Amino acid sequence: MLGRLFKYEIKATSKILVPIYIAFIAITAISRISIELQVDKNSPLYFISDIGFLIFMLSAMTIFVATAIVIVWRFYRNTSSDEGYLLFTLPVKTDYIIISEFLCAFLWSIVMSVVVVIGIFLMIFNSNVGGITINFPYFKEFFSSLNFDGGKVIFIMLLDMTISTLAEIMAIYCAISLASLFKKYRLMLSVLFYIGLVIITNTLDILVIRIITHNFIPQTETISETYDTATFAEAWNSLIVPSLVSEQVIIDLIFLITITVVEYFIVRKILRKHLNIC
Amino acid sequence: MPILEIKNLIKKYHTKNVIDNISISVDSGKIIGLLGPNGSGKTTLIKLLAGLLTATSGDISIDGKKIGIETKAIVSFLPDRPYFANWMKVHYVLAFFSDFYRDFDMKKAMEMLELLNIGVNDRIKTMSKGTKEKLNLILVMSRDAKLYLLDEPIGGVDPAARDYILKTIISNYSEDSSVIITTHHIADVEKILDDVIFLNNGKIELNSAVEDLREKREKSVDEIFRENYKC
Amino acid sequence: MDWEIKSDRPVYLQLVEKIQFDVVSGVYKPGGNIPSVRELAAQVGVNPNTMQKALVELEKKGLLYAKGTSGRFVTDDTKLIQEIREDIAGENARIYLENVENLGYSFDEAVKLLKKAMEDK
Repeated sequence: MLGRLFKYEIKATSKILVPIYIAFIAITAISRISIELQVDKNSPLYFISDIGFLIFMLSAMTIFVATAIVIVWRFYRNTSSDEGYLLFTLPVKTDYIIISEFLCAFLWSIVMSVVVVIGIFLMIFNSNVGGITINFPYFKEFFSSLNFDGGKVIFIMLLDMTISTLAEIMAIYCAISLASLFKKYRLMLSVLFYIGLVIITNTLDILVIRIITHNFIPQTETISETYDTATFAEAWNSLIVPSLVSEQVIIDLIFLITITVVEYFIVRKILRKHLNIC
Repeated sequence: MPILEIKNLIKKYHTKNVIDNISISVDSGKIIGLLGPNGSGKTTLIKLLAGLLTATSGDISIDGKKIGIETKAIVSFLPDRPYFANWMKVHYVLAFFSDFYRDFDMKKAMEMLELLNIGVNDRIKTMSKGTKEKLNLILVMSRDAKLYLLDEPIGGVDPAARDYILKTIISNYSEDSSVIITTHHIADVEKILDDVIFLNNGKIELNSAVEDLREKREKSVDEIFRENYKC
Repeated sequence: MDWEIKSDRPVYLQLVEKIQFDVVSGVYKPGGNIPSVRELAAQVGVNPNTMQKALVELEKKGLLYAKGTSGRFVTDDTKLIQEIREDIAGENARIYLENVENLGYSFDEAVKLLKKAMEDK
């Protein structure tokens, strides 16, 4: 049943998102080409090369927003509007309904990230930035100077991104579910609840970390000092790596997982006992 | 064993008892009309039976089972709204029902769609309101369920569509299942009913066989209803 | 007579009347079979249980009989059909006479009215 629900979620959402992602790649390719044209500064057509990068940035933001909107809209429609009649009279557990949407949202988040990376790659590869040609040898050299602590860094980064994304999605679901308890102004209430959840979560997060690490001294070390003088590699190795491979991050991740689980049970309770389809 | 058994059912919203201690027993092979003015609790009761709402107290059992996944598998619910998104195509909707409901009779659905000239590639967006309602009805009736819940099935449709819907309900009749219809259009519907239940302010004011009413009161159910509720 | 079923009288009685009429007027032939309960109910637009009740009533009268699962058939007893036909016709005649008498017509005038009605047709 979970598989079937997931299948239909994908079917419904891919109709909108896949064309958007393809369009993004196409626009990125065109942007790149327009930059490469290197139209003469004096020609009235100069703007074509100039706006190439801008177009890319805008379309990257657009697919991010589009993905977010689809995730939010899908959950809202399924739980608070007429389509909820169809979904919640199916002989399936509410858990499965929530999880199928959750996983679908997560899948699109990953796809979107991958697509953005591809886009960035299309834009910068083999291009000339400040006299440096970005190509394979460059990447090889760049990454070799970075410390990855035997893969730990990559692992923690991926774990962090995954858990953060999952927590984000569940927070959105929780906000929408809480708003659905009311009859009117649901959209506005969803936003308010979401902001509220973010504030509460972040505050608790910092509190929990401080308490556990017995660290009540606020961070005074300013990162900007070190950035000025160091190369990216030095900043990476001396700042970013230690902050990732630390107790703090582990606590943070466990905390996020806990919050996500709590929010899941809130969503579940609301959808099972207080379903309010208007 | 009755196909539906409701005992002392109460549903509270804030401080109000929207369903106020009702008890009903419905046997198999019956077509029941659930009538009442707006706000009487009709739709709330239907939603409780469909598993969309949870009762505050009391018992509901459908075919001996408590409301849950098991009853959702044997209850076929037609809401008073179209519940398919406009972008969907007919074959998507058919596949959906077929995938999730073991009792869905694809052949029956296809036959009924063909009789109405509805194609599998038709998009919901292009359909008239009447056609959408017929499509919804076909899907609900193509399930071999034990209890059919039809919430205002003929509201706002033209007479031809209405006749089609009523005939479909009759043709689908089975001794192993029952149908509960809520409606405001009593005159159109009363000839297909076995029993009628009047609901008002969450309470049952009348629960009787239709023919008994006609015999005793020498009036149609429509007339009796109008007298009681002066709509 | 059309299936004009009214809702202010018990439906099953009206169904009995109508089907009986169809049998005696030859719409359903003696020994012939009639549609199933569900088909008839859908045709007329009435509740199947009510239709069933009407058919059972006609079985009791002897006009119909059920042959296991093959459905229902009209009786071969043409004498019975004839009797009922005469009963209905007789009743119609009686009502006619009563109506025109109430209007003040004598029996002979009533007969003249019938002849005129026949010519006008």
